[in-house]
Amino acid sequence: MKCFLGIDLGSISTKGVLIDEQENIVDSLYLRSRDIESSLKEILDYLLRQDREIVGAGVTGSGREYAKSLIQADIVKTEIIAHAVGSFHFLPQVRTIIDIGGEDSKLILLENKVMRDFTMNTICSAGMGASMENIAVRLGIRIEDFGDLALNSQKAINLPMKCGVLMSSAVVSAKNRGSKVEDILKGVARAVARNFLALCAKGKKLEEPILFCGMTAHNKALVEALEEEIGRKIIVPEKPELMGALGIALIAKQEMRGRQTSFNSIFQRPENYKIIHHRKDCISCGNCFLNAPEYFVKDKDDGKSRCVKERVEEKDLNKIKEISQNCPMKIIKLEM
Amino acid sequence: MLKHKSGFKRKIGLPYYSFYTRHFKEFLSLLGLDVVEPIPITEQTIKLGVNNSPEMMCFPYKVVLGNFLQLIKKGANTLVMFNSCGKCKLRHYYKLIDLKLRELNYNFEMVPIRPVDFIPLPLGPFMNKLVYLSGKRKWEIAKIIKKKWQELKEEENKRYLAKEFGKINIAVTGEIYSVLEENINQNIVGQLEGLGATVHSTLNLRALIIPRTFHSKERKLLREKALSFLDQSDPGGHGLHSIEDVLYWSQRGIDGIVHILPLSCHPEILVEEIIDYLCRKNEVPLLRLRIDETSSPLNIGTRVETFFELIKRKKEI
Repeated sequence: MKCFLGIDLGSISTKGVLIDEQENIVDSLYLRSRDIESSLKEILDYLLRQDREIVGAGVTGSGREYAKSLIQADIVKTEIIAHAVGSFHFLPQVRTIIDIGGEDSKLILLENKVMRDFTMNTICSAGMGASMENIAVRLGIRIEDFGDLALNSQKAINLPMKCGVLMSSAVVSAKNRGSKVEDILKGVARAVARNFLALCAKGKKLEEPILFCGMTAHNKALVEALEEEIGRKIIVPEKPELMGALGIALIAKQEMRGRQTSFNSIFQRPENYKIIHHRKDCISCGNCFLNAPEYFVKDKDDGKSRCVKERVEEKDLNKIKEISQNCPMKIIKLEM
Repeated sequence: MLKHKSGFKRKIGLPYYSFYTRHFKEFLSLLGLDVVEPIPITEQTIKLGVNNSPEMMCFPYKVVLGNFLQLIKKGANTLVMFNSCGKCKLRHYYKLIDLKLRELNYNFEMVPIRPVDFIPLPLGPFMNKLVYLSGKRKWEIAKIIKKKWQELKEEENKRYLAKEFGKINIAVTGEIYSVLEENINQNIVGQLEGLGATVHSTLNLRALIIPRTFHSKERKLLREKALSFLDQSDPGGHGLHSIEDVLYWSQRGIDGIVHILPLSCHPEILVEEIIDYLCRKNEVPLLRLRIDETSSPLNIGTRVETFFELIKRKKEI
């Protein structure tokens, strides 16, 4: 089956989505990020099962540039564009997209099916998933139970806005004063919602329908708090965390248009490249030793070129690739 | 201005200022002055400046202070500083820097150069300062000024002014130092050009120096219009210029405007609301980037890339 792959490498989690040519989701995976390489490997191992053939691949998120060089992805776009495209696919009439991720949050406004404006939090993490998780850990509950517990609360406590670290110390002191855990959690959800709006939505008009993406959208208390603060209804997709990965897969499908993919599931680490040089057939044209004197030299005895350095450095990779393509006798090869 | 003891050898220190640095240095060298090689802005410069400035001070002040500290350590004893830009804090920079550096026990002379110095047309006060610094005759200096002025004009025209419209056109505006100095703004202009945009700007030093009476008619009309949004007076700095720019570029059908300002720049903060309004009204996408010591390349890069993509997608549909 021909598939398009989209991978969203965030700071907290890594998401992978596989779509078919009719833009249906074939398979998906959500992982906690460890290091980029092992997360990518796990995602690829899981998604590339059976007879799935990748005809286009896109990467997004903060680790996109490195991931692109590892798997030779065709498309690299920022996570904001990816979220806009993914959400637009899910709900074509969408006007406002809220994305609260692990370490950054964004607000995207659309008009007439075109992205009109976007804002992203600058340097503060107070309105983000990471600060909520931090608090959950300090209260000794699982982050998955956060929303359901908070919904039981009758009376939310007031927490200081603006700083995630100060908020978590206020939480501890509230607990020490004997406040109920659910009241504290509801207070946290409310503070996070307010912080998000203060950081990203200042002076912006949020039109309906409003879509809420990112893993934090599973937190029902946060959705409720946002609805309360904005004063409008919020729609949460079935799998809000996958919107970015879905978006980049869709972009890959739109932009490939029959082009050959360069995707390779084996990691292309430049330090693994080795030059194979059959100098017997060399015609000493100068293509190699004039363009890359640090790798090739002209032998004084027979005038043919000689490879003096086999391991290719990252910065020289493109140069050596070009030389190997231009070699008239095709005797220079790059191998893993 | 001070009288110096005999045997005093003047060494000029110039703060780094984008591509203008080269011209300033050449100009002063032609006058026969000994100029310390200007030091490009690095993380070290910013660190030095931030450690010695009030927290809420504008970012350019911190950078210039850090740069002066580096220059003094390299042996500069005469600091030349561009001084006033209307009513904004820049006007008082040289006094504050002077105070701070003397407090740190450095001995030097501060020579501020202001746009008002250029106004009486034979360049009276400006010329006097140069005579004082170099000891040359006025007519000799005038010759060199004329030559350098021509060179400056050519370079500015090449870089910004005489640019044709390309496929995707983006204008940059805002506070002049943070727009032009690519070492503090993570090279936003370069990033945009790398993505394939044609970047326009009307910010340049000549426009700052030349008195308003010599500006083009269009620019004067725009100024009147811009003033009508305020209390008919200049907010200082490049505040008014930014409003003018938005009007100027939206008339020309620009695809997007990037507004760059240092974090606590008061003239730019004052006009933010007006710029937002004008961009909304003219349906021009706007990206506002606030620059300070904490802004990271990744952070700004993501925004710039997304902004470019937004415009590209809008144009395709």
